[in-house]
Amino acid sequence: MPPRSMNRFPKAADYFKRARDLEAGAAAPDQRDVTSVAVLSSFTADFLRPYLIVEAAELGLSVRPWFGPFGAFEQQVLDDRAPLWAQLPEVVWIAMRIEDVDPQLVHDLPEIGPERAAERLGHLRQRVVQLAEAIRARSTANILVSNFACPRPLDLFDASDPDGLSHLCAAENRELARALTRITGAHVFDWNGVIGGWGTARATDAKLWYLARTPIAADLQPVVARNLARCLRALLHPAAKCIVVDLDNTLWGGVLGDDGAEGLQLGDLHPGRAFRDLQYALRELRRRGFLLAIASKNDAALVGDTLASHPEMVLRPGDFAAIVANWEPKPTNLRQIAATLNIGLDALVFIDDNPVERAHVRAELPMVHVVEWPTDPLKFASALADVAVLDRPRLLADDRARAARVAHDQKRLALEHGAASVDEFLSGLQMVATIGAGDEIELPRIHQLIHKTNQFNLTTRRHPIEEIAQLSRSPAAAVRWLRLRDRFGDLGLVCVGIVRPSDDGTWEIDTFLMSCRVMGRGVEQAFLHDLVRAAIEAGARRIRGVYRPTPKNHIVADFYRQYGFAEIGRTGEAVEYEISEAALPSWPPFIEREASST
Amino acid sequence: MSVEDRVRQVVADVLGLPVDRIGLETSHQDVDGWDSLNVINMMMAIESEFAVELDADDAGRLVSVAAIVDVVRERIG
Repeated sequence: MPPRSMNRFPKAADYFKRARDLEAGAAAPDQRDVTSVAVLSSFTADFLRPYLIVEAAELGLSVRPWFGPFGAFEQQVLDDRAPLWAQLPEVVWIAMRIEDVDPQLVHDLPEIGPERAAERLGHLRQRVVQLAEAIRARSTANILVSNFACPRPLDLFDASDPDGLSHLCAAENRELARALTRITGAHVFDWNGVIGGWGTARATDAKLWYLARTPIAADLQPVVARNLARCLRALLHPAAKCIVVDLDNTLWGGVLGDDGAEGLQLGDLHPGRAFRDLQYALRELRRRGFLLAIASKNDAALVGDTLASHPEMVLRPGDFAAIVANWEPKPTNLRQIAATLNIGLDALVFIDDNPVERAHVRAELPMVHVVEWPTDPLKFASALADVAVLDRPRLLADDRARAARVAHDQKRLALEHGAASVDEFLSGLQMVATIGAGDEIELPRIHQLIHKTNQFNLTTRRHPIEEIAQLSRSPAAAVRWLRLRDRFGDLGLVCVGIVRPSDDGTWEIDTFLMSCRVMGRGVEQAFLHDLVRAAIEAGARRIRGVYRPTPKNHIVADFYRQYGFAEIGRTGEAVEYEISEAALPSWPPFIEREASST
Repeated sequence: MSVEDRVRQVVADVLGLPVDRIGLETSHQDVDGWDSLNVINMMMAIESEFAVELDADDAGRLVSVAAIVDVVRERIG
């Protein structure tokens, strides 16, 4: 199937056919990366199967869905021998609807009043939260819990009543979101948003509801499936890091070189508003922690002037982490942008109105996420909203700071040029490191780093968040992190290390990784010193380190040797090293160590 | 493609069988997978293929390829 927009879906029979082909492929013996997804619903959800398989495949995921008997939640979750657990689910979706489990609520409301109604809704919420907790206690699966869509039809004046059902549902959804933040790996599936976005009136086909107990109309099935698939992708894979945009007829209407800055379509007049709205949307993404960059066939000086001085420009030069305007091929420029920003090409999203440029990038750099961009600027907003690699399960304070940090990095670079020696430069940075171990509050960031760090990562083991939580609670292992700040700002949590006992006095470094933006500042040495010390204090006599090569981590191929480890053997591609206390690298003098407050 | 051929293709896709094993005479009695779940799936697939709307009573008539062809012909007029 060709790339599609939100509004074009294949016919139902095409989904069946393609889903079968995909299932056959997933069953092949050499196929390992199949995600087991279990669905527990208060309605017949089985019809979603082909749609979910196909929509997930569109996002690069191979899934094996399993649907529990409808209405059986506790029976599956609380019984360790239930079929649910035989699936070894990696994701469990709890899809409970008000209409199915308290069907009389709408009809009873006028009699029982808002307080009783709120109480009954509260019971439903507590029920799904308890299910999520019970799943968490038994499994490391990611958990998605549908929020509540207000049952319809309500009378038109329900919303005028602050105690009307629509407001009670909204309040309950907020409580649900709050409760789920306290359960590791649990997230809301925005059922309410999906139904509302599609349109409540056409969401259910009465015939399918009464015949088959499915509240999802035929043409809504692929939409629910796509939203679910987007959630799965966001839970299982990292989001993109940088959005690279073209300029002419993308960021503004017209061609800068031909029309001049004054001739561009941008501002309050149609079609300039659509281009301006795209800039607003991109600025919002930047504020949410994504980097922006420009790759444009244009004159660099003219581009700089226009971005800085056009009165209607929303995005200014400071909003972009990299601006590349020249006449080189786009793949060359994308490579340069990735190198400048120290991120992988697979972390780039490429937006360009020109299908030839898109095809060129697709052919030469297949790992870049090339968006099928519409020519009509009125469709830009929905095209951007459809980019699944920009979905992220939650916003971390660290992400928001990342965009601001790039500006700091530029200042750091300026300082580097002014310093006489590297040591002087490093001292001048006034770095302060805080090291901590195993506290819950850092878990999301630790998990994020474990999943997105590709280059400075010795073993590239992508532990799920629950496993990290378990390790950090275990007395016989250490999950340590390092936060760094310097005179230019807070760099956040930049290192993660896991060390655990292996055999007979030897502890193994399971994970050692660092954010690339602090490379070359001695931070890796400081953190290695700390991690090895921690293991020795816990009783280790020798420390073993393993380098597991990937296509991206060659920069750390010699890391252990550089810091005094001796090679002891090879297993396949992996290289094993060992070190004893005597050879331990020292803590670098130019980094101040601060005690962790936790 | 004729209505018959399109119906055969839809039935084949829903049931996961090669289309040459589906004839006009093929019915729910001949095929294991032609169960209540797949009747609903066929309903959705027929609606989507022919851009028609079936009603609840039609579900009971989706018992053979020939019967489905009749239902479709009534709808597309």
